[in-house]
Amino acid sequence: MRWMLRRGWLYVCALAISAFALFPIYYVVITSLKPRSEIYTRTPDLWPNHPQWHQYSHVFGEGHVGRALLNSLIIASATTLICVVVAGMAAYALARLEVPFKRTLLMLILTTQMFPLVVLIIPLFVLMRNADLIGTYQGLVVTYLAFTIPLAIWIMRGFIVTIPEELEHAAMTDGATRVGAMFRVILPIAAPGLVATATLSFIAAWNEFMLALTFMNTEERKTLPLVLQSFVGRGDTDWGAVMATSVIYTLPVVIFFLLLRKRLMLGMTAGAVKG
Amino acid sequence: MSTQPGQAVAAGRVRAPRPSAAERLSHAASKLTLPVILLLPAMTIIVGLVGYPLVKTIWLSFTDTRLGDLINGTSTWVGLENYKEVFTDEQLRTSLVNTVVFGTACVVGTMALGMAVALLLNQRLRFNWFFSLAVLLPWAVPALAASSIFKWLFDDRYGFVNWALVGLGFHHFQDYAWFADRNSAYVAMFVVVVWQSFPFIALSLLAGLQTVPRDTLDAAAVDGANAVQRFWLITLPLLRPILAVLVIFSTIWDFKIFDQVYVLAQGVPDRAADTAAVTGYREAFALGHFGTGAAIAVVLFCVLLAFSIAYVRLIGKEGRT
Amino acid sequence: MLLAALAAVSVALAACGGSDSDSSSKSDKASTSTPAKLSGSVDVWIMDPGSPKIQSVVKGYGTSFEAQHPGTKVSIEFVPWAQAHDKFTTSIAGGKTPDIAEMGTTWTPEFADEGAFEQVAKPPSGKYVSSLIDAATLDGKVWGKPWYAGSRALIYRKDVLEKAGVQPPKTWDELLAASKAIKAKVPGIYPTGYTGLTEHMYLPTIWQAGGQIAKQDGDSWTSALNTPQAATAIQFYTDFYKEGLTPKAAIGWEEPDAQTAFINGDIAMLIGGGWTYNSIIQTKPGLKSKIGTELEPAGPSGKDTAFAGGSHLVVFNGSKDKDLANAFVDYMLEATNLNKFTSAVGFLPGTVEGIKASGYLDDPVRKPFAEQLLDHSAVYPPSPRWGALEGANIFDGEIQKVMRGKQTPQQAAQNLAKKMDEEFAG
Repeated sequence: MRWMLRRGWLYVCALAISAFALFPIYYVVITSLKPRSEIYTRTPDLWPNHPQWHQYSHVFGEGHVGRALLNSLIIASATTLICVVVAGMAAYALARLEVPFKRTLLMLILTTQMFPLVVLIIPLFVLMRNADLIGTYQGLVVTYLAFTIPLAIWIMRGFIVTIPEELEHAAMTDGATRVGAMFRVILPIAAPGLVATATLSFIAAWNEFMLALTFMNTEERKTLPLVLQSFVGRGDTDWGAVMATSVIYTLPVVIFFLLLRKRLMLGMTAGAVKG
Repeated sequence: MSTQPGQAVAAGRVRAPRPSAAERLSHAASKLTLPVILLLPAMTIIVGLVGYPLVKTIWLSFTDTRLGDLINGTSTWVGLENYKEVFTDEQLRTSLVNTVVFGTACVVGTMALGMAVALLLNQRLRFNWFFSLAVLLPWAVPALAASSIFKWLFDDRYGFVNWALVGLGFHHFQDYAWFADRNSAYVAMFVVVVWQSFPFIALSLLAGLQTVPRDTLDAAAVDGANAVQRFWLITLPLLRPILAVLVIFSTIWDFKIFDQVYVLAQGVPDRAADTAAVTGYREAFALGHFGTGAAIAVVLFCVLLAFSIAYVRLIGKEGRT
Repeated sequence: MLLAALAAVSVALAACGGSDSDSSSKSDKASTSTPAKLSGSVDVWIMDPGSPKIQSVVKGYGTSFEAQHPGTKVSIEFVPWAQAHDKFTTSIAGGKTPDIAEMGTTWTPEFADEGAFEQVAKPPSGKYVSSLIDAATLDGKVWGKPWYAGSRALIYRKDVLEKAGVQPPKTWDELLAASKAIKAKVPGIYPTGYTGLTEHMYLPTIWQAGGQIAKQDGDSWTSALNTPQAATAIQFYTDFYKEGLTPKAAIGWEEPDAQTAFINGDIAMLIGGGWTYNSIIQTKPGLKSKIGTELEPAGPSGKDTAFAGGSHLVVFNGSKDKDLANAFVDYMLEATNLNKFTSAVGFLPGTVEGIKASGYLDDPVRKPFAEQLLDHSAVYPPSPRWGALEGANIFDGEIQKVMRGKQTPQQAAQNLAKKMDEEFAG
C-alpha cells in the first residue's frame, strides 16, 4: 500500500513537470492555428475555436520555410557528425592517454567558451571573410564546431573517465589494440554520453541565430532561425507565422529525440559493469 | 634483442642498459603519436577559429576603438581606462552583479530540476516515453522564440500567467506588469532560462545515473540503506565527474546568456536588469565603444575563470586526470 | 598629346562601364560600351517587411529591372529590422558590404561619417520631403536618397470620444481635457497609450513645446534639452502616466504593445503612423468605422510637429558596380514602382510627387498622415552620434524615472542634456 502511495507521488511529480515543459509548446501550437483576431485577445483561449491550417501552407510557400529547413538540416547534421567524431577522439585521448599539459589543455578548451558570442562576432566575420567562407555551409559548420567541440570533449571525457580501465586492459590482453579497445569497450558503454553530446551539438547548431545572421547573406542559404525572425516586421509581427514556423522548427528535433530515445535507455542494460 | 639479457634483467640480476637519448626521444615521440592524432583535429578547429577573435578582443579591451577605428585600424591605446569604467560606472557595475546573482540562481534551479527529472526518468515509470519526450522538448525551441513566447505568457493583460494567478485567487496579479520591474522581470527570466536548460542537464544526468552499477545499489539496499542514503552516499559521489562538468558549463552558459535577457529585460527602467553580455553588446554595437564592450567581456571571462577553478577545486578530483 | 587624351578617355570609359564584382556574374569588360548599357551584379539589403507578400513586391523590382537590362543581376536580401544595425556595423567593420542598402534615416549620418557611402548629388529642392534630405545630410553633403517615410499622427476611437462628449483634440490642453473626460465617463478603457519606451511619442513633444533637441555648431552638436521647454514637454508627457490616463504597464511598452492595446480596445487614443492604421484595420476590420485620425496635438508654442521617420537608399563605397547600383536605386524611386511598395507597407513615398500620387491626400482618414509628413514633421538631429544616443537608451530611462515619480521633469531634462553632451563629445 505504501509502495503504491510512493509511486503515485512520483507520477504526480512527473505530470507536473511535463505540464511545465509542454505548456508553452502547446501554446505555440494552438496559436499557429488561430486566426489573427483570436491571437490578440484579452482572454487567451486554451483551444483554438476555428483551427486554421493556412499558416502552414503560407510559411512553406511564400515564407520559404522549406528551403530554410533543408539548410538547417544540412548544417546541423554536418556539425553533429563531425563534432562527435572529433570530440570523441580528443576526449578519449584526454581521458586515457598520457598527454603533456593535460590540465592546461583542458582549461584552455574550457576558456574558449567563456566569452559571449556577441563580442567575438566582428573578428570572426573578418576571419571568415579572409578565408572566403562567408555565405557557405562550410564556414558556418566550422564555426559551430569551434563552439560545440569544447563542451563535447568535456562531457565525453567525463563519461569515459568513469569507466574502469580494467575493461580495456582485459580487451587488450585478449589481443585488441588500444584503438580497438576504444571501439569495442568504451563506445558501447559511453553510448548514452555520446547521444547526449550528439543531441547537444545538433540542437546548438539548429538553434543558432547570431552567427547565421552574420554569415548568411543570401535568401537561399538562410537557416530556420533567420526565417523565423523574418516574420517580425518593423512594428508588426506575424505571430501566426512565427508560431507555425516554430512548430515546423521543433518537429525534426522531436523526431531526432524519438529515434535516439532507445539508445539512451540502452545504456542501462549494456555494459554489465561488475563492481 | 636476444632473450638472455632480457631474462637476466627480468630476474633482477642485471640492471637494464640505460636507453640512449635518441631512443628516449623516439620512445616519447611514439607515445605521443596517438594522442596527437586524436587531439589534432579538435585543437586545430578550436584554436584556429576562436584564437584570433579571443586575442583580438583582449587587445581591444585596452584600447578606445570606434567603428571608424575598426575599419581603419586606428585604435588608441588607453591601458586600463576601460576597466576602470567598468567598475566605476553604475550601470556597468550593476550588470556584472546581476550576471553573477542571476546566473547562479539559474544554475541552481536548472541543476535541481534537472536532477529531479533525471531521477524520475530513471525510475522507468509507466508512460516513460511520454515523460521523456515532454521534458526534452523545451530544449528544441530556439532562445529567441522561447523568449517571445514567455514574454507573451507573462504579458500583463493578455498573458496566461496573470490570468491563471488571478483565477487561483491572487488578485494582486491583475494586469501585473512583470517586465516593468527588475525583480519580477528576473523571476520571469529565471523561468525561461530554467525551462530551456533543464532538459540537457536531465539528459546528461540520466546518462550518468545509468552508469551507476545496479549491484552496488542493490547490495546497499539489502544492507538497510534507504533511498535517500543510497542517493547521497553512493549515487552522488559516483556522479561527481559529470556533475562537475555540468555545473561548470551551466555556469558558463547562464552567465553568458544573451537572447532571453535582451528580449525580456528591455522594459525594465534604466536597463537595471541587463546582464554583462547584454551590456557588452550595447557598448559595442549600439554605442560604438568597442573597447569598453571588449573590457566587459574580459571581466566576465575572468569571473568565469575564477568560478571554474573554484568548482574544480571544490568538487575535487574526478578520478584520473 | 592626342594619344594621351585618347588614353585618358578610354580609361574613363573603362571606369564607367561595369566591372567584375565579388559574386559570380556574366559581366562584360565594358571598356568600349556606351554608358547606357549596364552590366554586373549588385547585392541589395532591404529591411525585412515581415510579410512574404511585400517581400515579393521588392523582389519584383529586381526581376523586372533584370528583364529591362539583360546581363545584370540584382540579388535582394532581407535583413531583420531588429538586427539590421548590427549587421551593418559588422559588415562595415569587417570590410564586406553590400552594394545597396535600405538605411534607417537615423542611421545614415552615423555610417556616412565612417565613409561607408557614396556621396549623392544634392537633389533639387521640392523633389523630396525636405526633412528627409536633412536626415541624410552630413557636413553639407547628401549621402542617401529618401525612399519612403512616415509620420505619426493621432489615431483615436470616434465612438469613445463621442461617448465622453469631446471633440478630437487639437492642442495639448484639449488632449488632456479629453483624456480626463474619457476616464470619467467611459469605464474600461484608458484614454491614451503613451509608453515609456517609444521615443517617437515623447521626443516630438519637445518640438511641440517650442524647444529643440540639439543644436549644431559647425561640426559639433550640443544638447538643447536643458531648457524650460523641454521640461514642459516631459512634464506633459509623463503626466498622463502619473494621473492614470495611460495603463500602468505602458511604462515598459514598446510601440507594438501600444498598438496591440489599441486593437484590443484598451486605449482610446494612440500616436501612430499610416502603417499602424493599416495594421489595426487588418487585424480587427470591425474597428475601421470607429477610427478617426487627426494631426498631433499642438503644444503651447502652437507647433504640432511629429517625427518623420523612414528609410534612405544608400550606395556603399565598397561597391564594385556603382553605376549599376545607382541605376537600380533610381529605378526603385520611379513613381509607379515607389507607390507599389509604399502602399503595400502603409508608408508614404519620400518624394513629394509620390505623396501627391499616393491618394492619401484625398482619403479623409489617411490625409493627416500625409499632411503631417509634408508640413508638420521634423527629424532628429542628424549627428553621427545620434545612432549611439538611441542605442544608449538614455531617453527611455529618464522618462521612466519621471513616470515613477523618482525625479522631476526638470531634473530629467538636465540629466538628458548632460548625457547627450557626453555622447556628442564622443
